[in-house]
Amino acid sequence: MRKIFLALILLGPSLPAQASWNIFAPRKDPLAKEKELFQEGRYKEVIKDLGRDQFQYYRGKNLARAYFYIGQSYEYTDHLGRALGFYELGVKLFPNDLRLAAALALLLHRAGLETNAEPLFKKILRAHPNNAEAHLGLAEIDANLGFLKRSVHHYQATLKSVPENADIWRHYAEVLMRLRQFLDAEFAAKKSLALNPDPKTEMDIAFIERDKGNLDQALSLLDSPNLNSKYGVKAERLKGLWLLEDNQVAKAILTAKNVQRVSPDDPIAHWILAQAALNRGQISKAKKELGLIQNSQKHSFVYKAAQAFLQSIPQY
Amino acid sequence: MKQFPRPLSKILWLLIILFWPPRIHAEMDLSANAVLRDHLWKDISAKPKGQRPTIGLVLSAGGTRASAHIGVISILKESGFPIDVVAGTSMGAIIGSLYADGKSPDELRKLSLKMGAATGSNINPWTLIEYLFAQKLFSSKKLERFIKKELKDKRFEQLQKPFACVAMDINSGEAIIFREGRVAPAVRASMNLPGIFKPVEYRHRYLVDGAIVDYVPVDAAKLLGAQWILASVTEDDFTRARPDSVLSSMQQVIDIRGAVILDTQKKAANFLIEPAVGNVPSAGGTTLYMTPTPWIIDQGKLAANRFLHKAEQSYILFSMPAIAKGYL
Repeated sequence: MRKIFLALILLGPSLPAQASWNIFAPRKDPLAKEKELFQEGRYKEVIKDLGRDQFQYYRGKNLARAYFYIGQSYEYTDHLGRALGFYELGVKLFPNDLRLAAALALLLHRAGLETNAEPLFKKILRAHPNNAEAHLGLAEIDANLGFLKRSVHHYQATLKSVPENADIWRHYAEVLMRLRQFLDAEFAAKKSLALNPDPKTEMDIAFIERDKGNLDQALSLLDSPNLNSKYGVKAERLKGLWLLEDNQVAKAILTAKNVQRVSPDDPIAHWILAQAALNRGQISKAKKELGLIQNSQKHSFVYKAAQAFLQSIPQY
Repeated sequence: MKQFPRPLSKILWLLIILFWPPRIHAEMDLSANAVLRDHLWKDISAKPKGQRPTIGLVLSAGGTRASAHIGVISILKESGFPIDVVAGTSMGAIIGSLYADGKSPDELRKLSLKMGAATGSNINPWTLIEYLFAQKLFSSKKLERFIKKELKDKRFEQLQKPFACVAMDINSGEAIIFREGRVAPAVRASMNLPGIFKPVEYRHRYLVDGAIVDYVPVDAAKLLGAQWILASVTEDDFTRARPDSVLSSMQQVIDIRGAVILDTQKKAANFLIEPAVGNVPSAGGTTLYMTPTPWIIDQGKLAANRFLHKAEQSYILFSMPAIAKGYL
């Protein structure tokens, strides 16, 4: 040992300065350029730089990073199929790389492949139980598949980490609505609205109020200019139906006529006018309105409902 | 211990969450079909029983597969889908009786997951030797005890919802529909696999599993007064099955026999929910236990969630005379 040490001291001055210091200098990141390009959003250049041949020069963690960069770059340039290919290969080669697993899970989730994305998110949660992105992914997947209680649990975990995201609060409120937990849904929706006055949230609150039995409040929310600017006729015809539920027949007729000014063949407007006519004992007028719900929508529920209703009228 | 690479930093995760493009979150459907369905469903489902067509929930046979009914019940309950009467055969009878008694889907889930040991009855090395060498059948008494305990030995009339279950008289081949008397022996008879368990002697009849003659007991639900019937069917895809045990072979024969009349029964129902469990064997492997798993229950949830709105539409169309009556 002493001999080696002496040899190094003696040989040290004779070696070129650069070579001797390379032993102790930090290694250069082989993906430094790609990292920089990626961070600057120059995805096409990342793809060009990480051509397939380039992959053979990387090993271990660097190879996993290369898969991540190229996958993300393809994803951001809308080549989702290619991104999926790189992620899948990356995850197969590096099953413990959570960045790749998360990227693949998110892409699968966006593609609607819920059952494929779910185990990946779960894997991330096993390693990092508080990972907000994995909780969010699972919350959305569970909501879509009908596992509402599980979805609520994952939304709550997400909101602990990201309490200021209006969309997440809104989506959470919608799941609570489906679970018919209207008070909690209202709280979540109002929280979302406070963070971002989105007409979608106003619409959610209108539904919550109606389901709670506060039809007056629900109807006044449908009149909000913010909501009307987004939904237009859709909000108006919803209002017509809700006015019928509230026995405000005259107002429902006016609303249906407003809808018809914009969309003359609107089937819901015909439905509202038919029900209003029935309410006033005008059976032939009701039949005429129901008959106007067009045949072109033969397979639609509205058409089938109108036909079934027409058949039911003569019974009374 | 597995070493995972360092995850993305917290800030990067937050950035991803904040700026990630919208994902597959189902936005509220405000199409004409959706808003009319919602409007009419609110109207008809709020009407008390008697002012709208009576809804019957029919739970098919299917051994382990039939535990998917719990998932179906869970979705119906969460969405507020009213169920007025319940009918079931075999495993459907067990789940149906517990549901008719007011057990919540969570309770049903917990009970079903421990049901494996309860259904096996008096199986022990000695009875097994007797079964193999003296062809002596097992007894399903243990199942009766399980139901008796859970239902506190109630009679049909004492259950929260009207309930019926079906068994077969092994002497006449008749389907016997039970809707009065003590529930536990009737459910036991409905689940009493022939060839494995001794026929149950009850009300002067020798009874075995009802799946042979009434796999989807729509007729039983109609006897209870159901007008619109939602059937949860957990049919065996026996074309691909390779039974590898006595029980699974027996169960497969029952399923094939049941399938002969299944098509007619399915047509008699107004709406079908068919969880994708056809590839699940009726009984678990080489054991005599029927052990439901969370996966099977989840399949029921998936199927019911997928077809819930269609079921609502079907009931609305069926109920249109009752809806029209409200408007006139």
